[in-house]
Amino acid sequence: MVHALHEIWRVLVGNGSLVDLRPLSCQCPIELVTPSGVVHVGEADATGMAADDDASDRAIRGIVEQGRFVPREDMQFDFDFYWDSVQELTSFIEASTRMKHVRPSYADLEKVYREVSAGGREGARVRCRRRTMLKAYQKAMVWTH
Amino acid sequence: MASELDPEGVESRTLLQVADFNNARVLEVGSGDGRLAFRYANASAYVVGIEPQAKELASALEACPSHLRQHVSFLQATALALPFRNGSFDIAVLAWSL
Repeated sequence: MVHALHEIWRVLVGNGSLVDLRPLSCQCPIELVTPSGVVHVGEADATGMAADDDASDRAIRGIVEQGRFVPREDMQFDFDFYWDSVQELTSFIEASTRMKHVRPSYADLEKVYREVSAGGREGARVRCRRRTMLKAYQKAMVWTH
Repeated sequence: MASELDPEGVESRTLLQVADFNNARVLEVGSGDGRLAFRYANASAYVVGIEPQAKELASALEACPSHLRQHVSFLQATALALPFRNGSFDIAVLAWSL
């Protein structure tokens, strides 16, 4: 990881920008989105790669401490995933390395989904909001003696 | 796969706020199926996406819109040994890849 950051530093021009964009390890809200509103129904545990995220943060900190990059921006935003059914959400999470499980159970989510759909709010979609970080750095020139 | 990802384009809008992509030479590390690159490529001089997974790379090549093919390319590579000369890019984007 550190070697990759050194390689990126090498191929950037002086004062070039490095942007680190990735989802945060956290609990992500699961919602049902209908034409008439949004219903919060649960959370997805997106901490499956927390150890990797820590390692990435350490690698970035290390290269900043070496003086190769200077921190410039630190932002967060919500990245939305939409599915047409709870089954699609289930398939996605089961194939994911970052997302591990949901609360309440898939069966309970399905029950709420059916209730919402039966309430005349057809076209309900399942949404999961991933908190995502974006950090930008500027390449600094390193002088070696 | 989700049926829709970031339909409001929040990710690309935020990305375009933090660096000047106008006529920039951009390296995207971990470009996957090209989803993100396609959203900002119009603003850039050109984009090179590198992706280690052959399947993802094939998806990106197939999905690349015809109007972007002039200035978007994808290579199978990792950031551990970048096949580019020093100072080749103005911006490097680590797209969910670090």
